[in-house]
Amino acid sequence: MDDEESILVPLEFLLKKAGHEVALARTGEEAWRLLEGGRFDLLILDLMLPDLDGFALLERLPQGQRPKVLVLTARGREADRAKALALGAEAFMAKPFGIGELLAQVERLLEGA
Amino acid sequence: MREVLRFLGALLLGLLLVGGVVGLALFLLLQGEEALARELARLAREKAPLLLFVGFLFALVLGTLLHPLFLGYLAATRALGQEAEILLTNPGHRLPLKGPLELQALARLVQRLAEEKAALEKEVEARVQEAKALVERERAILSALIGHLPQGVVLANPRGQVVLYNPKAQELLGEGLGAGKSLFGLLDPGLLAHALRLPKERFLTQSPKGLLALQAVPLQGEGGFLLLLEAAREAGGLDEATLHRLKDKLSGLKALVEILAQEAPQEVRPLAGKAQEAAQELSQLVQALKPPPQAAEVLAEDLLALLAETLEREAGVQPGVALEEEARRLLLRVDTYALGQGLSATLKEAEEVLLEGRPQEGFLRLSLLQVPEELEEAPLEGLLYTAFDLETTGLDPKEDAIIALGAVHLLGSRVLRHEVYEALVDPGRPIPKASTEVHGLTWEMLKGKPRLEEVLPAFRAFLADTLLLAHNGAFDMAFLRKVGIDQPPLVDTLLLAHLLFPDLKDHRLERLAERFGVPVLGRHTALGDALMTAEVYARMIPLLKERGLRTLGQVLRACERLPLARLRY
Repeated sequence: MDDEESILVPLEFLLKKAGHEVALARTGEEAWRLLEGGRFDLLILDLMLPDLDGFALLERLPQGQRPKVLVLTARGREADRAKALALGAEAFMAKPFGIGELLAQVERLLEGA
Repeated sequence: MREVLRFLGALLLGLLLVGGVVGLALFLLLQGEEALARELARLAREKAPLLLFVGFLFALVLGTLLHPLFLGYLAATRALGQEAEILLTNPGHRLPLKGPLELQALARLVQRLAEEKAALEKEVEARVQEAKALVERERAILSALIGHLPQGVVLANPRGQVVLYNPKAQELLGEGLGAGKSLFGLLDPGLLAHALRLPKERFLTQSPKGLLALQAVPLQGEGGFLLLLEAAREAGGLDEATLHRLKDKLSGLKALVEILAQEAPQEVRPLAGKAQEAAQELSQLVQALKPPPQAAEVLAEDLLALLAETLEREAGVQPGVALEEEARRLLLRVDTYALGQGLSATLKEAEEVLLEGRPQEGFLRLSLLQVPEELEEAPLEGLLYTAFDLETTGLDPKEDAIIALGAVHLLGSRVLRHEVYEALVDPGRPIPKASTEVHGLTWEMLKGKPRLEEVLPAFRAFLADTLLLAHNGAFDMAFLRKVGIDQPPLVDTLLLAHLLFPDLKDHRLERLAERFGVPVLGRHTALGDALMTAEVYARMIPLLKERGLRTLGQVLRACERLPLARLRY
């Protein structure tokens, strides 16, 4: 989930190529609808969304069947990382990131699932 | 002229005095000596011209003695006084040297003192001019100096009045800025006070002309302060949001280039590789960019002291502060002002607060504890009350008995109508007619009801852990004490009514209920009156607060001062 089209496009391509099923959301609301509609193994989450703070979405995730969360954000401060992890995110990456690094992280998280 | 009259008056007085004394002496000497008196009278008649001459001679001598005193010294002293007055406005005036020698010496002395005073005044004036010129020169230098600074600079005195400012400050703060005007009218006073405590930090604030970054530096000695101002977004400057957009876009671009480099046909791969390298370098450059910090760096121990100060200033709360030893030297990045304001707004109504700081993985975990306060200090709205009323067989607590009890709980100003207690009691004896007329209860109606001892445990339980509230509670308490219920303190709506409406003639419960728009239902039934007391009290709380009576302790102390409070049954 990201409001930046230029990130969604390559990520979708990469993840699909790696054999994953991908759903895209550009706003927090859209993401929320998708999460309610189906089961996901991994959520790649941008912290700054136009309608909803990424932290708020993290807090609203149901505890039971929740997907793993990889926070991907331009707000790369220590405080953001700590807060995201405290709210239950499994991993945190600061933008700009390398695709190899990102794919490795995704695989690591999904293997654990 | 005045001196001539005084002289004549004194002369006449002298003559009358001497003549009177001589006459009185003769009169006393000649008592019982008729022969001698006659002889003397005859002698006086014969020698009248001689006696007159002696009298004239005496008057002349007296006149000669008094003349210089009145017409010489007195007139000359007055003249000297008038001349000397001129010296006050004209130090160059010369005093005429006339009259007695002593006065001439005095005149010379006065003249000399006046000349010395004039010389001193001239010197002081010269020094003041010199000092003014120096201050003006320094001011001009300072003005020239700050006039060329790119920042807005304002120098203010301890009262926040502007002493000096540069054109940039005028541009940033607008026309409201002027020498002698108060800065507190232009900028948020709370923020200024806060910024002065952290002179190294910059704070964002709204000025009449827009968003400003402000730094306030207290001046040593003088007690005033210096304000350094900058427009919050300098042209070309990089703010945090722009940097995030940049990183977002770059991330996308970099990912796209990396994919293209992998997927591109062989012949364009070198080009894609170059693009990938460029994206990599660009991302390293962007990674190194840092937005200007919006938050201050502050030591944890300073932060807590600062928050305590802000809470006291903004919310009137004096919080306790606890900070674990290893958290003391923690350097934090905090928007101190926003945090202080937020806490103040949250704790506006709080009474006792404890701020507790603990280190947690490089952060400071700040906890806010509301400490349960002593009953005395508790705010009126935070207490659980039992409003109660009794009906009795008569007015004498020693002789009469309780026949009905009614009570309702009240949480602050919320009457808990579902939490009520009501009991009718068989007094075991007839009820006087006068009492029945008040509450409508007869012994016949109460026969078969439980005895008082049977209902008291439940009533006691209903009162437990609550604060008693009654109208004219002294009367009811006199009956309750007799059966062993005493649970001070007691809040009395009768006393409160006297406190709030001293000029009201009728402080009876139904009158107060009407005044507050509380429906008068079931008057003189125990529960009806208890409910009415509760409703009336709930409406009194805001009025008490308006008079500065916020805590139970304050209310009880104010009631104690009323003469009515000394009434005992």
